[in-house]
Amino acid sequence: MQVSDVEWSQAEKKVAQEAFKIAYDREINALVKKVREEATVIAELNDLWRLHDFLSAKRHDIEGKYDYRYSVLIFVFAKLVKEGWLYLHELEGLETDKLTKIKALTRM
Amino acid sequence: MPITIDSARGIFPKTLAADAVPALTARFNQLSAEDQLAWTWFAFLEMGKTITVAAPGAANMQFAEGTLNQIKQMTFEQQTQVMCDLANRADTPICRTYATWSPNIKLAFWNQLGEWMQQGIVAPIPAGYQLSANANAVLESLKEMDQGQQITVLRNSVVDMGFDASKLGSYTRISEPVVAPKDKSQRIQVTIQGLDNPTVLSYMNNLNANDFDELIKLFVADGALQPPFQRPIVGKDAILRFFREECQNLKLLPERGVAEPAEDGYTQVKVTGKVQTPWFGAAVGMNIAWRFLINPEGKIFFVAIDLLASPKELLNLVR
Repeated sequence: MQVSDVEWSQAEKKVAQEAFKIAYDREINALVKKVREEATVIAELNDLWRLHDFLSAKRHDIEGKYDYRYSVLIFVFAKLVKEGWLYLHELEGLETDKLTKIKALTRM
Repeated sequence: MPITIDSARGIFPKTLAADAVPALTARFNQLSAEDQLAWTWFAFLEMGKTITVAAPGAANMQFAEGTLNQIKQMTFEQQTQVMCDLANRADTPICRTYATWSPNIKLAFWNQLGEWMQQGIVAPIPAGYQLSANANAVLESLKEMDQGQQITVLRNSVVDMGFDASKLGSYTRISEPVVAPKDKSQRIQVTIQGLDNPTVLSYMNNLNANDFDELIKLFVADGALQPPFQRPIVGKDAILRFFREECQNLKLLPERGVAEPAEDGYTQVKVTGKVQTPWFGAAVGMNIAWRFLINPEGKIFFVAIDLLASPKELLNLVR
């Protein structure tokens, strides 16, 4: 599947930028909410270190996942849809070929 | 409560160290070896925009020379492999040699490789190489730090490369030759606002003069020195070795301090100020706090050197 030389039109770029931001905000808000909840029930030291490990892993995951480069965006969107941070309908406006690829990737 | 090294570590607890440094190093360690190499290169270039590295002298270069010449003879592919091996902390002869070197020799080694990469003698990071999103995020975080913290992160990344020295068994540590102490006529006496503790002043002045033999006399036999973000180094022999290997030609510029009585007739002292390293000279002043615990005889039982979170912390002399 050749995606490195795929073109993105101005309209598609606008859709992509908005979808990217929606997913990012959604995930970050969920994370903040979760951390607030976890923090209130910390009872012992191990709970604290578990939270620390969780946050370290999450940071690495989030910083790696939100990669706004057109050469990899199809894969990024597929992952976000698969994880539930983005809905396929929020990618409407991307040309059919890209949407098909994203859908196929989410099923893997 | 009896005074121990552990209890000493907690004096002046409101001192805000730069936690961002070990945190960034931890994130850096999660990157792939290729990313780490490229990251170090881009970070080095980024910092080079505002500060220049002082070239190490021949005395320092001699120890890395053999390995450097070996690498110079290799193909680009082999050179890239060597650099990846170092980043991967692999078990190879070069990685084992690297593990015996002091931090300054490791830095001198990479500084030379960096120059050769710029000159095309050693395999460059491929043109158009794109850092991963994770590596980019780590680089952005580096850019937000003050320069003293940046050079500390970069130093950490270099020092941690190569084979794990603790797995080497017995080996000879390789470090730069020890310079002679400065002539008495060349020595500068520091002044610290709010403080005239003679032990602390002696510590600063002797370290500035590279007079490690006099400096170590200020410590008790079972005393400890805690470098930034590290465990305490215990005992005069180990502390002296640390001074000789890692503290030559530092420029300590203490500014202000406060002394208070502690338990059992001890005195606790906090000093804040700047430290310059020979690598960057006056271009980079690290924001530092020194926390001393001095026994009733005026000897150092414990000293912690902290890299501060921000310049604001220089004014924080609160207990």
